Amino acid sequence: MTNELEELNAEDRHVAEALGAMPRAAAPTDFNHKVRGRIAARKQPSGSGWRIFVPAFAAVFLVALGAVLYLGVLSSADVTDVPPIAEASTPAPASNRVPEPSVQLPEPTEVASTVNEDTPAPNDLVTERVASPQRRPERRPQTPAQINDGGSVDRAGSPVTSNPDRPVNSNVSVPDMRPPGFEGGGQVDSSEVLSLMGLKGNFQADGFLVSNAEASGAAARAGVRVGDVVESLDGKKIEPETRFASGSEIRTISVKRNGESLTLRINR
Amino acid sequence: MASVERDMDKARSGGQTAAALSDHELAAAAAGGDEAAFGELMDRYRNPITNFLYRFLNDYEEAVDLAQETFVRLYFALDRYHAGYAFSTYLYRIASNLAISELRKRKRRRLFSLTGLFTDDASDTAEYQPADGRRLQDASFDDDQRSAAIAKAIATLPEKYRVPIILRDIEEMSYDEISQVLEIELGTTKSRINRARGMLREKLDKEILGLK
Repeated sequence: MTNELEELNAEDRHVAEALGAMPRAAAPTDFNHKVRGRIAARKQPSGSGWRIFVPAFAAVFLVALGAVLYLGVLSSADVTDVPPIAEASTPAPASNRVPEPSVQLPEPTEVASTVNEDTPAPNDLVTERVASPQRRPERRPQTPAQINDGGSVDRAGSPVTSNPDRPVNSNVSVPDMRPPGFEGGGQVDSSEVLSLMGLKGNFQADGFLVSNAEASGAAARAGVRVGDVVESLDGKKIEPETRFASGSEIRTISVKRNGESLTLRINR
Repeated sequence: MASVERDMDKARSGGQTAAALSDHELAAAAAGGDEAAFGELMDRYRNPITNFLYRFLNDYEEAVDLAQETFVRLYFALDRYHAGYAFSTYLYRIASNLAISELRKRKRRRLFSLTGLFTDDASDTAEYQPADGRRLQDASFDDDQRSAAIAKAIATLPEKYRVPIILRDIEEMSYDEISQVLEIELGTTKSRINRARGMLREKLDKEILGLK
């Protein structure tokens, strides 16, 4: 210190001496005791478990909150986030679609009349579709050929047929897609009823001319023979367009045999 | 550790007290759980550390509190102490770090206090030192006008100049020791001390410095 002071200039030496001459602060007499008290206090277990549990609880709460928000976003996305393009090209199933307000739909009669005035008969199906959107809202748009054909389309809009090799023919009549026979519900035509009764033949002006009658069939057992002309079933005149409710039970069959009308009872 | 314990036993058997042991030996014994050795370390350094902190903070109560905290920190850090440093260097480093932290806490408190928002410090271009306006807490140590003026002038110094000038001119540590305490180069230490003396010379009247 002395050597260093000798190296200092006079002013710096005065500063150093003034600082060195300052009175010194002394520690209080209970200094050691207080230090030991602090040490003892820090050695003891804090007992403050909340210091651990509070951050842990906060972390769990944040994770749970994040999970709830994430699931909420996912569920809302399932309902609303349908791309508009996908909705236009492939409509969602009817169960998932929200029906459009009826006030925004044109009146069926007005639209039908308008379409009929502007367009001839081939567009009648279009008229029907437009006029009753609420009755069949899930119906997919079809090409004109499919409309006439009555077939369905796949996702790409191509016609779907039972035989892929068979070309789609717009002139073919619309097939009846209802199940045949009496057991399927709905209606069946008279030719199917007669066939189920074991009769084969052709329609003519006055009825159905029997060309073959299966011996085990209900008609043959009732007495119908080849050459008979079936006029009616249960009093209902037989014509190609005549339809019977499926599941109905035929009890009588009227035939003309050699110019004489006979009513035969069908026994089951 | 075993050799230190043997030395302790030898010193005690030879009638020597803990006061006859070096700082390193006492620190090693205290690290081994010897409360008497730790007490002897406190007896040796409680006054210098308290004085250093008092001159740095210019607040006696705060200085005593931080001096006690210094020894508490020392107690729990004794196992990390090694004899490569002088023990005093290790202890002053703890004390100076605590003092600087306390000074920065004061600065934050002052900055966020309402009174601090409305004080006119625009003309004060020097580094902000919270201890500037504080009244000396214990006038018994600086009861004369000269000491009070010097203490106030020291408190105005930036912390990077205040620590080395106190360690050098008040605690009379060597430049090397100060460099180790502050973990800076020797040249930087000397430069800061000279700069601090120059700043004090500008702040203090020549009459106080005995130049008249």
